[in-house]
Amino acid sequence: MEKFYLDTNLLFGYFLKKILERKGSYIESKVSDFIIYSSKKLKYAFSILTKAEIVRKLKSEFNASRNDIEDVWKGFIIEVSPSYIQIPQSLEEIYGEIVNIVFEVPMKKRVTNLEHLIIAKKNNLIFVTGDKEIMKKCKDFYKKILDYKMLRKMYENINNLNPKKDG
Amino acid sequence: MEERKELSEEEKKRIEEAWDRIADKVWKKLQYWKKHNPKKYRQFWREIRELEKAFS
Repeated sequence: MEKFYLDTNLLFGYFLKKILERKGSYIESKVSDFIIYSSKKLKYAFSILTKAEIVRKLKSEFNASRNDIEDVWKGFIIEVSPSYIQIPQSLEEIYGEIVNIVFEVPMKKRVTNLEHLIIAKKNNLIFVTGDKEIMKKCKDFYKKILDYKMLRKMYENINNLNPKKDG
Repeated sequence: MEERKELSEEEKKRIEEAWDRIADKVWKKLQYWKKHNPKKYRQFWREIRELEKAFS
């Protein structure tokens, strides 16, 4: 079964919903709801880089404590049941590929999303990203890239149901 | 490393309390941004709206 490697932006949508619904704001979140119910049919994956980015946001922007972040991360693992992807490749190998990409195509943004892309490629995962630059410029480098709408469509095809009726 | 397992009631309670504490901090920061950094505040919600739009 194909696994979908979600970018941090999408995953953070899940965390924000869980957080803000407690404050009576942002109760209806299609992003978070989608991740939760689609995880019953799609297999999601994350890496230590994904976790590092979520931790950075919660710690640096909102000053959450380590224990609390570890606990809500555990809650995410329980609810969404993603696979943890260990990265067997060396940094040299990963960044070698990134260097190849940026030699070939001009990239405006920093390389974090390219790191995710290489992790997805090396582990044969479908990379789901909202990064338009990656979508536009990196398809020749790795075919298995989906934007959020394509992920939703793929889920609808797999489920053969309108996801709104499945929530 | 991290696989789904059943949680004890104590673990569930601890996780819920952690969500509550983080929610307090996020909410306070948002209120701070609203008052002192409206640009950041608007950017925060704009990014959420853009993300939500892809799933609506």
